[in-house]
Amino acid sequence: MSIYNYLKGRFYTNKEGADKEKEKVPIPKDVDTVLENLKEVFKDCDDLIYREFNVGENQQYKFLLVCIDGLSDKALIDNFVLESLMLCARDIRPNGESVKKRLFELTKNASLTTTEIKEEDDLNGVVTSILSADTALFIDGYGKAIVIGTKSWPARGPSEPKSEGVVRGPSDGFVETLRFNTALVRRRIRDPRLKIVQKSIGVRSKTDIAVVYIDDIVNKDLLKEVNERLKDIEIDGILESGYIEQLIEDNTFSPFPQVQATERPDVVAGAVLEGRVGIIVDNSPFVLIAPATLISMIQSAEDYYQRWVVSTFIRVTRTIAAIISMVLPALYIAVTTYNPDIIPTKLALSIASSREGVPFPAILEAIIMEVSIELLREAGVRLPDPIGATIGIVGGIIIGQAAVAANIVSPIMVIIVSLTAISSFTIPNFGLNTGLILIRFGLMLLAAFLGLYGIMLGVIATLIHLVNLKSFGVPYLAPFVSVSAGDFKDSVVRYPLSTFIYRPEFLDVNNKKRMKRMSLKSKYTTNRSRKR
Amino acid sequence: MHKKAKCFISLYIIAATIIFTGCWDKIEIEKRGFVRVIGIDKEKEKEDLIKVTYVFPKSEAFSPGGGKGDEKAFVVMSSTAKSIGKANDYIDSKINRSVYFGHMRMVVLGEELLKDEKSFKRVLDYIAREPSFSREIKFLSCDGEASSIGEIKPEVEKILAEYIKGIVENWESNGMIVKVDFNQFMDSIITNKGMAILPKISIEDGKANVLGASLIKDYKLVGSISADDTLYLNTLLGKRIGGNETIDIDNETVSFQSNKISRKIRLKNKDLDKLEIEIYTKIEGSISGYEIGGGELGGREILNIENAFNINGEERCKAVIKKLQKDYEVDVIGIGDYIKKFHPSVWEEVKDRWNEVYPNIRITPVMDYKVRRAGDIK
Amino acid sequence: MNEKISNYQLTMFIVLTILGVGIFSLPRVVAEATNSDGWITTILGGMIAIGEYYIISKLARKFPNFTFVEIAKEVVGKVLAIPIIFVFLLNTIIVSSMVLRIFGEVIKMSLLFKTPIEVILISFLLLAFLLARGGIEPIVRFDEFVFPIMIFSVILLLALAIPDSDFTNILPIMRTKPMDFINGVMETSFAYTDFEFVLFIVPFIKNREKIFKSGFIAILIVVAVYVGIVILSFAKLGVESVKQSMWPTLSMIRSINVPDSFIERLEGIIMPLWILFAFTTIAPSLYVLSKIISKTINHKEFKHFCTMLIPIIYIIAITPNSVVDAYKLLNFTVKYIGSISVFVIPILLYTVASIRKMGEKQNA
Repeated sequence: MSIYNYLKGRFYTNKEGADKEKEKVPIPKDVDTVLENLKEVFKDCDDLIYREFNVGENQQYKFLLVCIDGLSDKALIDNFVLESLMLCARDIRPNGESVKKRLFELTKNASLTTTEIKEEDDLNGVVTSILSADTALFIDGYGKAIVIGTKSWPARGPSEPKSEGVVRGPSDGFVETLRFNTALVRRRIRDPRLKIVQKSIGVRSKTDIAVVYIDDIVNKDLLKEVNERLKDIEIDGILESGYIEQLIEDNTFSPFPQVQATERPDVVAGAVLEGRVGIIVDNSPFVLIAPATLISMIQSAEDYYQRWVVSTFIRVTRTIAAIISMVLPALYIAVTTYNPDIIPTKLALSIASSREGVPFPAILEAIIMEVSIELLREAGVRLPDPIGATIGIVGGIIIGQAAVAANIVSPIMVIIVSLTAISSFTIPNFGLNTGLILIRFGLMLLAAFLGLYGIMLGVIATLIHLVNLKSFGVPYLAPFVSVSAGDFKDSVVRYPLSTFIYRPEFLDVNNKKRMKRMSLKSKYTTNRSRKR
Repeated sequence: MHKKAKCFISLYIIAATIIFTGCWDKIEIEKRGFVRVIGIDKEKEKEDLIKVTYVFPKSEAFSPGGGKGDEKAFVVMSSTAKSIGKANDYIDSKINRSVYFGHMRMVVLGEELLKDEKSFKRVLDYIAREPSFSREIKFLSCDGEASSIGEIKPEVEKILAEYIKGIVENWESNGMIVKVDFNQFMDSIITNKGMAILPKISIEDGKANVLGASLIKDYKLVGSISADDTLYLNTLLGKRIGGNETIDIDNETVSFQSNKISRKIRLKNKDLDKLEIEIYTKIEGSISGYEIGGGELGGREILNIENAFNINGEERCKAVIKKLQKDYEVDVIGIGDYIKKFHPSVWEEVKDRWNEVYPNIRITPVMDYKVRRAGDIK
Repeated sequence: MNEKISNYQLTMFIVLTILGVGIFSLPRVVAEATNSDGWITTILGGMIAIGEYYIISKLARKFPNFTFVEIAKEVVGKVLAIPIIFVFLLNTIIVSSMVLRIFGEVIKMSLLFKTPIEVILISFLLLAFLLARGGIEPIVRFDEFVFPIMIFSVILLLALAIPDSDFTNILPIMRTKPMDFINGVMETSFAYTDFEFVLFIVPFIKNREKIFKSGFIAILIVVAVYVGIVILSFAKLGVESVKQSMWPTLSMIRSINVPDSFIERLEGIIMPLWILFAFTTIAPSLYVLSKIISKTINHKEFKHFCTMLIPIIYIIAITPNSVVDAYKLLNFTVKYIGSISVFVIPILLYTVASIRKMGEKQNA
């Protein structure tokens, strides 16, 4: 029975097939058989390279090298595998007999001048390794293969993260290659206790993911929970970290993301230092951080690099902006239709007069405008850069103006909607942004039917949902909730960095102290001035 | 069916039947008639009916492009009925907006209405009861018909209510009109069984003019005092901010501008038959008018001036007190209030006979003018 | 992670559960009984509440792992416990329904004039159900999140009310007869009700020893808020007007004039915030009620009773014909049934428990 048929019967995507797949298939000792089997498995995969070559003084030993064109680093293979074996080995004059017995060990340990080498005796494993851009080396007469690490596929270098820009702070963002990403994190934390544990998830995609944490800080229960949830995933393919996010999160129906996704290595490093767990997924520049709280979605990395006055101010502004983006259109609807007594008379009269010619009631007006803005935003994302920017201006200004002039909407509505849009863009986390849109529409509907009371009902309902939400065991509304007052330092406001002595409490970590206690007073000026 | 789906659907059905079946309170903003000032009169020749005059602002006048300059920015309409609530209903049938009182600022009460106890009480009750009335409403009494507010052509201002309100506020700051807000007015009416004071304006020639104050007792208008007298009333109340007094001293006309006042009431004699009250007022201010070239204002001159103002002030105040106490028997200076709060034992004795006791109390005003500064020249 | 309720959380829970609809009518109640001494009456009422709470906390400490129902069953046996539990249940359910009704009436008076009250009541009950079914943890977390907002707005409100007020309106002092005081204090008791809910969350509390202290602070905070509102109502409206006004606090809020600001009427801001106050009273009530039933019948899940209680509370809430009737029923219930369930029953249980030497020993 050929390996192909054998394997064909096993590569199902149901559980049975997946289990059976894990059975080992021994490697035939004869290189020709190996070649045949591999060609069966990789039938119609024309990007495979099969290199047979002979090694030794008299070219008596048959070797087979298999790799995938485009994935493997051919330069490395040429220079350090083929050359080492074919040419350099020829120069060494080993005694024929002694070499023959120890051919495998000699090759593996003494001749291949490459960094990464592994021994493999399972054909399935070899197939996976070849597909992972490694090179497989078979030696005639041995039922083992040497897997050489030659990973080099087309990848872009670290560049500015698209979705999280900062004014002050590093601009290198994660890329699609797992190894580069782990490198970016390692660079920032040079502690051997920073553990990077790799797993492979996805039956067909066998995507590498890395679980990153600091051993003596992280809460072991949290780590266990993360690992268990990852283990539970049984899926064909993981194409992006988003798949993982959706499969391990606590509540799929919530508009709020419970796992943070970021493109920035400094954010991941910071999170890991606090005691969180990072999940890097191959082929995705978005790294997941668990657990996540509402506050972590509104914070930006830059908040820590600026001084506390600026940071506090900006954070407060951002929080207010988040609230505004949720509530403003609904407030407009409620105030104009149910309770105009809240706004000053002149404003009320001016709103009334500007709505004179508008045929729609306030709620419809609001919905039309909101939907238009969403369409504009979506269009702006899909279009390539230069056109996208133009559409923004064209859409916003011209269409808005035209709509007002045609009396489809009132000018006040345009202002409200623009304010809402701008406020929502200040939120660093895109997932939260889209979640808030749902809430915004819900509040608008409630406002249309029950006015201010309706808005309060919606707000309370949202709060109830938030209060019930947990991310990996941590309440979503931490640090406002169920912890001591100490965590308030780093939430809506940001106290001076010298007060961040303990790690956040809600993570319940070991090793709580992270900084030496320093006095807030400037201890430098007094000393210096005295010396003078 | 999946449990969550069941939950969802049942919730949706409940929500749909409750919420979506009607928006009961929804009124688009452009359909509201924002009434900021109303006038209430007693209908002539018809007993029991009151006439309410509504001032509706015209929205085009407030549109962002600005309305056309000279056009009147409001529409005035009246309706007659037995109660204000009924009058509202009638007005709703005359104009396409729905009357909205949420922004009401001013209620002008006509003279005849104030003289009719029954109608006045009805009007007061409606105003206190109606929840949509804000408590920032100011009451004004008017000489003549309140419906004449419709004839006012405010030239400096578009909104009629702002015009009237602005005038009243100006006069508050020069002390010649009493500052009475909703709560004080209501409290006075309720606590003192129908006794209160209201600012008084007159409407002539399309302009509003301040006339002083109306005195109300037993839910009826009993009299009024002039604007000049009101200045001294405000002094006695300790509520005067600003205000100018000009008198002649030794052939020279001197003006005094006050800017700070403090007042203390003291009960001097507790003997029930011979109650004596002393109102001690200290007024600080500056000299705003002298005769130029008339010499420097030194220490002695200033003392002189202060004395002269003291004497003048006390005389004028005594005159006002006499009017209030003896002619109209209205206690708006707060004597009763003072006794009730600070001498409760005395109050226990006199409260049932207050109407007789009050006119017989000796009230002595003591003025203390202090000149603090004298402007830019010496 | 954190399954236990800490001291702060307990304090916040008690404060927010007590502060409900009582705020609106309290100035009138105390003014009717004791005129300008109303604020003193308010404080006295708080003292009584503290006394009642002390007994409850002692009972709770004796049986730290039991809720009220279990304590009753343990101390007097299953049969005798039934009338005791029934009295408690009756008190809580009537009070909650009346609170809901009054809430609906106030909303109708200030925000939604024409909306049928049924809509307001049902929607609010559904919301309370959403929170209560999660158990005590979400309720406590909700309270914790919302507490700073509410305290901040109350303080802001009181501060804004100070200008244009005549504080001499709280004079004369101490002219009322003692009988009137006692009467007044009895009337204010409904403003302080609902702290007995603590008896249902005892097993969840972290620090058993601090139960009294947390509650004590909580009631003090409530007293401070009430006194502030009463004094300011008197100052702004005058004692007589307060006596005439249905909801003096509302009128007082309406009188606040914030000059030159964007907000014309403060009421528009305060009313939505106040909806939170009412919510934090009604949601725990629903939870406690369903817990009573589930523990009495020894049924595992209290969530089922949550659903069943909604129509019951709704029907009781719409029974009174008018607001006045609602208040009458509320006052009657609290004065007679409430005082028994909050005062007499805990003393009874504690005494019997002590005699029978049950429960945990406490440090002196």
